[in-house]
Amino acid sequence: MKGSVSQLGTMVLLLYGIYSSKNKDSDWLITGSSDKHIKVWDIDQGKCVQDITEHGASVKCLLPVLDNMFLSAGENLHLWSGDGTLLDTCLSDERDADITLLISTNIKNERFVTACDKELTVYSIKSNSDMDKTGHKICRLKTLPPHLEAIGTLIQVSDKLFASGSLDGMILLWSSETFMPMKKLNTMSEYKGKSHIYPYSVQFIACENQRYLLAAIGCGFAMFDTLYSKLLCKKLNAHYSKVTQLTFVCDGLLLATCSEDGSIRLWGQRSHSNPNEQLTVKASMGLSPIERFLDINFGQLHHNKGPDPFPEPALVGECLGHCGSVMRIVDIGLEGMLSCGADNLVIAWKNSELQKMKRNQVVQEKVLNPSGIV
Amino acid sequence: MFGADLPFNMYIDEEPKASNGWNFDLEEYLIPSNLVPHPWNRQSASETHLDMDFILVAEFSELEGPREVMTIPKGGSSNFNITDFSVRIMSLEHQTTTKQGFHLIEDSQVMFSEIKDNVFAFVHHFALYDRHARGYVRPFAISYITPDSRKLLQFYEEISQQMKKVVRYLKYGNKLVFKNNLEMHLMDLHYTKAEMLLRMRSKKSSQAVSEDIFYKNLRTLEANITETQNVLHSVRQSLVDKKLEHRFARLEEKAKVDSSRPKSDSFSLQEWEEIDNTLPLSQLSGSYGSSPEGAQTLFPDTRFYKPKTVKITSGRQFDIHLQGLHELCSWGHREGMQKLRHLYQFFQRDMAVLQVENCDMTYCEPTSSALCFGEDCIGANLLTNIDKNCMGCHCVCANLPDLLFNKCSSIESLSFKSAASSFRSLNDDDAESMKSAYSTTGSPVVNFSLNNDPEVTVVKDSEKDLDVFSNNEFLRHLQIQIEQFEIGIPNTNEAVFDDIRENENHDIKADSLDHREGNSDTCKGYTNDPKGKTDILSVMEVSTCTLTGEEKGEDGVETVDVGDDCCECGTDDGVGGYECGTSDKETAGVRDRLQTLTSENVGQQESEKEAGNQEITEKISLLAQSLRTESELEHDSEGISSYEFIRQNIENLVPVDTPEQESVLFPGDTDNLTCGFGLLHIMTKYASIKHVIYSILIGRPVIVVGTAAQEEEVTHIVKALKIFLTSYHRNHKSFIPWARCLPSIYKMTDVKLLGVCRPERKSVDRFIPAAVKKLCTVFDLKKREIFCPAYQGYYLSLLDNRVRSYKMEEMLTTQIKSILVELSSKTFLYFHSFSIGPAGIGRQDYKFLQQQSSSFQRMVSNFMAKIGIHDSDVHILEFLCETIKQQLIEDHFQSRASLSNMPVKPLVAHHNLCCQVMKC
Repeated sequence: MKGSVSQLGTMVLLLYGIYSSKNKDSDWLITGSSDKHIKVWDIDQGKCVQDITEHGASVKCLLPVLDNMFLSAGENLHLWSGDGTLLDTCLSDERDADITLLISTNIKNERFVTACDKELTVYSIKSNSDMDKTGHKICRLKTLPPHLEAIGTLIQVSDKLFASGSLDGMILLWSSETFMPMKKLNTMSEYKGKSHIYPYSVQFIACENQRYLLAAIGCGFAMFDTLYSKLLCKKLNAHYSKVTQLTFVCDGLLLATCSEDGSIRLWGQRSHSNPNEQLTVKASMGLSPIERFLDINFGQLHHNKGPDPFPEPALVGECLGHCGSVMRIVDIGLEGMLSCGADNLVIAWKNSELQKMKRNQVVQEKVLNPSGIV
Repeated sequence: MFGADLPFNMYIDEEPKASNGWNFDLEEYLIPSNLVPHPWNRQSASETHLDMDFILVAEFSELEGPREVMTIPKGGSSNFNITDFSVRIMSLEHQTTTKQGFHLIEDSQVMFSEIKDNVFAFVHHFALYDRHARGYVRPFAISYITPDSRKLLQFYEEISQQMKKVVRYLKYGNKLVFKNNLEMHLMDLHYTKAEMLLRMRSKKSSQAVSEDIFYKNLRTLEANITETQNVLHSVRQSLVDKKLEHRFARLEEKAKVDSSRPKSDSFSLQEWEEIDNTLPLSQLSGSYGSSPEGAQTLFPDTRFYKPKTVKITSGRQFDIHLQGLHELCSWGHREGMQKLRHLYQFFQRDMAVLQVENCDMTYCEPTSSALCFGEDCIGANLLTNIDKNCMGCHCVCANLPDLLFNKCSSIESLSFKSAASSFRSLNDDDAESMKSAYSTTGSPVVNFSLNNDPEVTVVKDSEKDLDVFSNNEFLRHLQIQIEQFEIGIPNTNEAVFDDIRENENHDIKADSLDHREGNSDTCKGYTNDPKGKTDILSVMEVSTCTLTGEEKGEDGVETVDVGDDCCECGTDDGVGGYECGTSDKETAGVRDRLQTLTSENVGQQESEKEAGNQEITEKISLLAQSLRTESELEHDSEGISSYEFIRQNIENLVPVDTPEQESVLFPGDTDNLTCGFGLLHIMTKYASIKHVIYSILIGRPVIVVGTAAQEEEVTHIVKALKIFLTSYHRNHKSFIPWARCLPSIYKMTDVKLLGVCRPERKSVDRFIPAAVKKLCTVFDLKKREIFCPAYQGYYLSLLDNRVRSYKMEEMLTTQIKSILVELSSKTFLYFHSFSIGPAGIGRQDYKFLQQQSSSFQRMVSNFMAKIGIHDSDVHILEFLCETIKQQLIEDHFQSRASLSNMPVKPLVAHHNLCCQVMKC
């Protein structure tokens, strides 16, 4: 495929198994690219099963909607049926900018929000039984009050909330029901900074437990509690360049941030670097990543018993392997993480000790017991 | 024919009888010495015998009879009549064929022994095809001739196989040449026939008489054509080895490319182009035997062949010069002879060596568990003679007994001692050879003796004055001093002290002797010195250093950094003193100076006794110096025999030095026999090279960066460091001596050792991206900087410390190999006792990662401490073990063809190592 695949990491997660109801044998994956093609892949066989060219412009984002349909957005918004037939198109109203972000706001996937430059627009898909040909139609519901600068990230927090972050550093929380702004986080007065580098721009927001937001802000990152609109902890200069994404890895023991400077950094609490008995107890309790990371349980957290704010996370490791900026990191559980960068590389990072142990096991179980008799 | 000189010989045979009656005194050289040649030419049993193995290629020439074509090595054995032997072996073959016409002849192999004369031969008979030869066939035989029959019996299979391979090259090359010749000949014949017909038609009226001759000729011609076609048909049918054909084609292509290039670069480009246009290539390459039309090509384009008319004869003539072997076989000859040389190189060695190697070959099996270094060193094989099933059962259920650890530690100390003693024994042998050199030459410059007995000193009877130097008290004092060192640094290995002890004795003796020979006045001065023993000791030390320095100066060796003030002082002042200290006045002056030095040094030394460390380095460097002088002396006193002796020692010393593949079994080039050649030079030139070696041993890719002008140096370094590369295979891309540009980072999984060319204007920091720098060790040759994790451990430091004591590459290589073997043996323990034991798995659930990985790390370091491995050596051992595991896993999955589930090879094993810039 020519051109760059947009949002591969996100898409893989979103579109996995979208056609499983139709074809239960294998999962399919849909990819859109700047080469104006949308392709459907059979994951098991690694084959392209369908090539859709009717999008007609660079594909910026894809979103599965309802049961067996998906949306693609770029210059315009298209609705596709599961077998790749174009159901409806919603033309843009002569704006220069493309739609860059697309999220659904409720479980039914009826309503979805698009981000285009500074504006957020709400659409819904209506099934019209009268219309025989398509059956489904995209309807624009509302245009939301704009951000000060271009929107960089858009995420669903819970069924009732979604969040958007923009270049000026502001994170807005919106109600999914009324589509009104609920809260403002991280408001900056002098957001442009020296020579317009926007040092507080929000590049990415991740959500944990439908309440906590992890935001990549400028060269650093911060963690917010949406309920109390409170900053839990932050690290201002985490990287040399802007942080592109962040996620918890290794069961929440570490927070990984990747940046345009080509590095992935791992953050943890200082106490984690010296494992002691206390940790063993905590670990055995089956905590969620955020609890483990902040070293506090939800009970304490909800009752505001933790320090205010929490101490800065400590740098515990750095993964250098990419030659260009690192675009995405994906947690692959205890195994480690995957990262993809602008240098066309996908690197798998693994815990070396764990690998050693696993190799020991493989050698013992498979190599030394070829017959399988133990 | 071969019987042609029989009458002459008979005449000669009779002649001695007649000569008895002759009275005239002929000069000795005038009397013909021709006797009846005996095949082995054993004129008297004591004088002549086959003293070495050699390979003989013989031919039954239709013009001369059996004759020698070539021998490997050139000249063969000196006391051996090759011609007669050729007669003998060529008469052995019995080709009983009943078929008529042309047919392909099978080879035959014969074992041939002449017990009386102690000559044994393995003969491989084969036939090559030649269009000009009788029956198109020329019989050849390759014989491996040896005085050791066991060699042939024991390695019959191997020799037979290798011979077959050699002959396969020769024969196939020959068949191709023969086919080409026939094709061309056929074209010639057709052309001649056409021309004949044409001529006949045009001259039909005038030349009626010759019609008979014409038809006769035509018949002959047609018979010739049919015969050639038949032969060609059967030859073509036998050309089925496409692989070999492809190989020859590649060789030819390569040769063409090479030959099209100018031999030297002395021409400027323009000049070359001019020449290229004006002169044909054949005129440029004026090498012997190069024909202008490139007739030697094995794959000629027959379309451009210009047929010639051939002379029509019914019978065939056999008086033309027959082609040589290289012409007959073309590229087959090149390849075959190369193989034959390798065969010789391999089998000419002593039977014992071959047998030891043969035994060691078992270590190669199974290959997946062999820990290989460089090209030719197998450190250990972790699963030789181990029943996998048994092992598997054991490793899962058994607990790790504590007893094992005790065993391990004892093994550790034992193995180390053995390593140290092996070196000592080498030195002893060396000394032995030196002694023998002494006895033969009579007057060596210094007699170096490594005798450990403090009571014995090598003093001539006449020099009684030197008694003071062999004083027991003095020696005891030294011993005490050494003991203090030992207490000061408890962890330093005993072996070092052993060496130092030797060195002390050694120095004293060297010293005393030199005094004796150099300037006896000075010696007397010492004896009369009223100061106490301590002073004498100090003076001794100073003088020792001085003498060493003096010798160095004389021999013109580069100065070694002694690392101690007093030594340097001594050197500076003392050398001059001794050199010109012939008159009494000067001697007195020297004495005074030395005494002042002494008093300074006493205080100095006492203060340093506790520190100890510096002293030890000094001792080591002294030892290094003395060893250096030793080997130098050996060189000086024409010690070729002793050199050989040491070589043999070294060969015997290498514990498991087994070739891993065929290529190594018959190594390509004698120069490349020792992998890691040039390391001595590099290790002495670049101080921090041990860190680079460490990087290689922990699997971290190493990039040596140099500008285009430094290509030679970079390649040299990279090739030398290859000895440390694990799991190196010829076809792997793990080793690139010189690359024009930096490969992308994902190729770094394969490349482990790389020399790379940096553009002149680009600095290393810009040339190497930060990510690469993080993953790889970078050696900047221009700035002499290394960016790498620092090594803090025992083994490589040992190597680094001892490197100055080696004069010869072989010694260092052996030392390296012994260290690698030692590391491998530890890996063996680690693998069996830890990795595949219950301790290696950890808990079954991987829930608490951080905790588990840190506890795993702790367990590893605890275990390593028990087997005597600390600090950076732990990483080395871990990497070696991981390599083995990876090999095993890969092999397992490959053998089951379940490649999809195969675990991926890791890019770097140790990612989180702290790197730093080091000057070297």
